Amino acid sequence: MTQQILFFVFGAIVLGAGVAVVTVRNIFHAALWLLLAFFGVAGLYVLLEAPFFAAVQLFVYMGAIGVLIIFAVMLTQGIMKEKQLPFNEQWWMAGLMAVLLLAVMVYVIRQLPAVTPQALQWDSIDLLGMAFVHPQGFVLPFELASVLLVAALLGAVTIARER
Amino acid sequence: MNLGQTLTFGQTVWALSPELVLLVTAILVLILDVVRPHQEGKRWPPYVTLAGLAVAGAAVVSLWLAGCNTRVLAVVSCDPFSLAVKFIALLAMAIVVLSSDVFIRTRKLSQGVFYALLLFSTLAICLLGASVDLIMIFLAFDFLSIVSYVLTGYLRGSRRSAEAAIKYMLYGAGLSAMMLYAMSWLYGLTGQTNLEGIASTLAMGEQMLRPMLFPILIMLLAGFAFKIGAVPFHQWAPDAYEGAPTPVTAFLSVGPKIAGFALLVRITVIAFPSTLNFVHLDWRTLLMAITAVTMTLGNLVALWQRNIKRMLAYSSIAQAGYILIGVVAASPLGTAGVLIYLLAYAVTNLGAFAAIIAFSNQVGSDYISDYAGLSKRAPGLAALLLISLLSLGGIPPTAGFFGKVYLFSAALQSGLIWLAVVGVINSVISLGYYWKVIREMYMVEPKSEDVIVTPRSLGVALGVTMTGVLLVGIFSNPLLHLLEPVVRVLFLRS
Repeated sequence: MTQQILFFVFGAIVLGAGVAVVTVRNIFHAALWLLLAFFGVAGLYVLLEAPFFAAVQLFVYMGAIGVLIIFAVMLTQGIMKEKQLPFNEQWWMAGLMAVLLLAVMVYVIRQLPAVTPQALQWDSIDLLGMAFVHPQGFVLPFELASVLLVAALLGAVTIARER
Repeated sequence: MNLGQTLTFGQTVWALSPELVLLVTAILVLILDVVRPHQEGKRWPPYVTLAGLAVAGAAVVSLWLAGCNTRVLAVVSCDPFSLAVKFIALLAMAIVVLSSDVFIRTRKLSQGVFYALLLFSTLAICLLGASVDLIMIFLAFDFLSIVSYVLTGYLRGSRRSAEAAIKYMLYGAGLSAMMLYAMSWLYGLTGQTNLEGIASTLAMGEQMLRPMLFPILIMLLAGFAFKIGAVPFHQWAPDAYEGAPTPVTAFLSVGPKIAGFALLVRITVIAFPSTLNFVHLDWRTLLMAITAVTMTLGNLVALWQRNIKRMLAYSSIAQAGYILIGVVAASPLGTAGVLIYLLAYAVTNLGAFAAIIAFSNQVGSDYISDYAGLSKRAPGLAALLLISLLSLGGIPPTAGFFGKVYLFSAALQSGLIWLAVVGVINSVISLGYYWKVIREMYMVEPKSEDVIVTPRSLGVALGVTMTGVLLVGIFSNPLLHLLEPVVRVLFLRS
């Protein structure tokens, strides 16, 4: 019972904040609403007994990505002054696509057989650490990610640098 | 080296040596650039880059001769198919480097970073050609995309270049998010990121998983269609091609396509093999439609272009359509056809771009009408551009003709007669706009009498591409006999 109430609370947070993100006039406020939506999703993960996901959601999305978005908003000149509805003449197309996507997803998920919950492995963080360095795991993608970051940084500096 | 055997450290390094060489060369170029920053008109960066590409190429050849066919560090595969892809990519990038030299130096752009980024993109293409794991695929895919965005916007101070980069990035970011979403569904369905693991899990639960697969395939194909510039995800191409520095346009028209097609072949053949009948049907139907529309739309829109870079952008969309025929055929002949056509297309298109760079370097224009009387101002350059355009149009005995022959015969062999017919009709349409340039060059009086001088590095690039166009044309049959048996391995495994 408590779980169901909590589910509706978190669900309402996600939906309400999500709607606010695309309707508020101030883009900085939109970023803050997005953070609240991330928080709601983290709550849903807790209810689904996925503590690892919940923690990642909090750290990565609310922490890193949230700060990144706010930085981007603050560093963009003049963007804070504009206060207009974030709609253009194509809003109905976007809405239509969103509704279609929802319809397809609901349809597809309803086709799936019910899945019985399985016991979770609680050492998932250990497994994650191993997967990053094990030769049969993801050591190569892990290393590639670092090369990718170097290249992206290099590119960003080259393009943004003053002449 | 054989499948299933654990590699020693030395073997792992050998199997990854092409990628390691590229990485080390990129870092070397960057360090040299910092150590000797103010050397006016420095000449060494392209040479160091070319040397790195050559060593990586030698490593690829040594792995091919050793018959390498194994899994390396669980996520990449060192097999003849990936080695062929790497070889084509290294050759193409060497030509891009040769074409870039004069352009970058005359505009006083940072050389070290430019060549390092080209090497990084080569690294990404090589890894994409070899990836057999969704995580690796996505990382390498985005690596290539991010480097491409930077290169597109490399002309700092040029609004068009910045606009092209922003458009390309927004488009690419959206589609790679979509592709990642599809991959997350695929992982959720199968619990596997490995392509073969996905195939075997799908084979066990066909009926149950069926409804999920169609949306997954649509989203996955959207990502690949973006990379290869296929309709309906092609809109970024003309703007990015026109705005980017011309050597980067040459790279964009070839590099991402090599990677995208290698990936497309591997995913369709391994993760969704024909033994899974229902899946096979689904992606083939989808791709067939994309193929036919891509060829036709690319060719028809190209007819109206006045800017030669935009024209070649639409032409390259149409070329992607031809290559897709080989993917849809889903047979060893089709896959070998894809590889041969990629090689033929790479040398041909890069040859055309080298000629365009040589022209615009002096004249400063990309409009087709300015090519009037080029045969009188620079007979050699005009002749080389002529050969490139004839090869793109598929006139014998050029590489483009034989590449198309194999692709169309693969379609016939797989019973896709209508697709081959659409391909042939499109080849005829394409002659219309290639002819437009040829007519300007040979039948219209020149607007100016100035002789156009081709710089040496571009001359070398043109020489290499023309040799490639003729050699691939002449030796296409031995090439097919070399490639078809080895790509058969891909199909046997599934």
